Amino acid sequence: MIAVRGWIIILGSLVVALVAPHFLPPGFSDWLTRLSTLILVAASWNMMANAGLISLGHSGFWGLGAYSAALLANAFHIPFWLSIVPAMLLGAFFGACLAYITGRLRGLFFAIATLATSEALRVVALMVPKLTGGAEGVFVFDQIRPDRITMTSFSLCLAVATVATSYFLSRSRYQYALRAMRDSESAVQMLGVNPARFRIGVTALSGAIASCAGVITAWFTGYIDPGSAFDLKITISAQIAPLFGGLYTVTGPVVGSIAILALSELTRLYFNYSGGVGLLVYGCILVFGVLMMPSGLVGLWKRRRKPVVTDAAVPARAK
Amino acid sequence: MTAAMLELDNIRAGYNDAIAVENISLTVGQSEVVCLLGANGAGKTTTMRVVTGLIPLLGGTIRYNGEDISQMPPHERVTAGICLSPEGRQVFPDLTVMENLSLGSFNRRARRNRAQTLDQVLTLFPKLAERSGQAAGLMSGGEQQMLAIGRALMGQPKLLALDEPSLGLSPKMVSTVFESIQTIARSGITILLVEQNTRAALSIAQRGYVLSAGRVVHEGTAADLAQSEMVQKAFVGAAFTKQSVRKSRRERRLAESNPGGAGA
Repeated sequence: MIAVRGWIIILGSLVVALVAPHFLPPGFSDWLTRLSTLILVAASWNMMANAGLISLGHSGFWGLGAYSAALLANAFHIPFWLSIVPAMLLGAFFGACLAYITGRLRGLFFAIATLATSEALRVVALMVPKLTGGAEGVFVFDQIRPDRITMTSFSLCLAVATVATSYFLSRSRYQYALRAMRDSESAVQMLGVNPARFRIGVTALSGAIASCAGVITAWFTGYIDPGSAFDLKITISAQIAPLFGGLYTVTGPVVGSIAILALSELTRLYFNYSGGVGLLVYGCILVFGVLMMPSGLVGLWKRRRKPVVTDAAVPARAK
Repeated sequence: MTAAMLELDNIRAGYNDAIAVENISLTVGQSEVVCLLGANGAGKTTTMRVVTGLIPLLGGTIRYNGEDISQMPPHERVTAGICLSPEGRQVFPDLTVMENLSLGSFNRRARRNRAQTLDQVLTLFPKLAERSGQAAGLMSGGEQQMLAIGRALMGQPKLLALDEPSLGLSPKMVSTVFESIQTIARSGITILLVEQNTRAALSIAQRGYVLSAGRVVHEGTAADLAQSEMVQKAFVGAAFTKQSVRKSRRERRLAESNPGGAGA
C-alpha cells in the first residue's frame, strides 16, 4: 500500500515538474534548475554515504557530465535530452573504476582518494586544450539549446526520478546490506554479502546521477570551464544538503537542498550591500544547523511527531 | 568419526608480518561438534577467520566436503554453507533485530527458505521474536549473542562456526546460550566452536583441539581433554572437577538417547 502511495507521489511530482515551470515567473526557472541539480548531487552523495562511502569527488562526476554533454553537442550535435545517456554511462563507468581502484580504502582515506581524482580531472581538463578548450572553456553549440522552460522541466523530472530511485533503493533488501556495510564491511562479508559488488554498484549509480547534474548545468548556462565544472563547491554543497536535511534519509537531501538554496538566496538579498556579510550569515546558519540538528531537519520533524521513541528504547537496555 | 566435512591441512596465517597460526591441521566430521580451546592469543580466532575466509591463507589447504576452498572469497563460503557467529557478536547496532536476521539470509541459497528458517530461529530464540522491532544495539549482551547465532543460522549453515559465544556473558546466560547451541547440534548442523570457557565447551563438544602459541598442542575426545592434566592446568583452574565432567558426560548421553530433540 505504501508502494502505491509512493507511485502516486512520484507521478504527481512528475506532472508538477512538467507543468509548473510554464506558470512561474521566468526568474524561477533559474532557481528551480539550480535546485534540481543540487538535489541530484545531494541525493547521489547520500546514497554513497548510506553505504559508508564518504565522497569528496562529486564535482568530478559533475564535471565529466558537463564536459561530455558540451563536447558531444559541439562535435555531433547530440541534443539535450539524449546527451544525458552518454554522460550517465561515463559517470557510472568512472564511478565503478573509482570504487574498483580505491579497493579497500575506507573513511578518510577513501574521501581523500576521491578528492584527489576529482582535482586530477580538473587539471586534466586544463591540460588538454585541444579537446576541452583548456582554461578558456567551451561554449555549447547554441542552435540546439532548448529554451529555458524545457530545460527546467526536464531537470525537475530528473530530480524526481533520482529521489524515486533512492526511495525504491531504501525499500529494497539491498538497503540492509548497504546500511550494514556502513557499520562493518567484514561483518557483512561473513553474512554472504560481497561488499565489493555493492561498493562498485552504489558508486556507479551515484556517479551516473551526479553527472546528470553537470549535463543540465552545461546546457543551461551554455558555457563551461574547468574551474566551474570541477568546482569544489559542488562537492561541498552535495554533502551540506543531506547533512542539513537529514543524513541517510530519502527526503533529507531534498529538504536540505531547498533549505540551503533558500537560505543562500535570502542572506544574499538581505545582506547584499556587502557580499561577504551575506556569506558569513549563511555560513553561521549552516554551522549552527548542523550542530543543533544532528539528524537534520527531517530528524527534527520526526522527533516532533513521536517524542517517545528514544525514551521507550532506554528501559529495554537497562533490563 | 564420520566423513570429514572440514579439513585444515598445515595452515599458516597471520596479520601483516606477524604469523599467528602455523602448521595447524584439524578435521571436523559431519554433524560433529568440535571445539578449539586455548588461552588468549593462541590463534583460535585466527583459525576461525581462515576457515571463513576473512583473512587470506598464507600456506596449507582448507577442504570443505572434499573441495579445496583455500582461495574462495568469504561471501561464497557463506553460500556454500559455512556461517560464522563472530567474536564480540558484531550485530549491526542501528538495524532492528529483524533486519539483522534478514541480512543473515542474504545469500541466494538461504533466501529461498527464508520464512521457514526464520520460524525455526525464532522458536529456538523466542526472545528475538519479542524484540524483533528493536534496534540490536539496545539489547543486552546475551540477547545480542542470541541474535548473532540466529543471524548465522539464517544463512542455513551446514557448518556453523561459533567464535566465543560465551564472551562477556553472565554464567546464567552462558548456560542458556550453550543449551541453544546443543539444540542446534542435535538438529544435525556441524559446529566448530571456539571457546575460552573450557568447561562449557567440553560439555557440548565431542572432540577438541588445544591451541597454544599458534599450534595444536593437544587433541582428543572431550572427555579425554577434560581429564587431561595439561588442559586443566593451562586453562581450567581449580573450579573444574571430575564430578562436573561426569555430569556433562551424563548430559551428553541423555542427549544422544533423545535424538528427536527440537530442530534448529
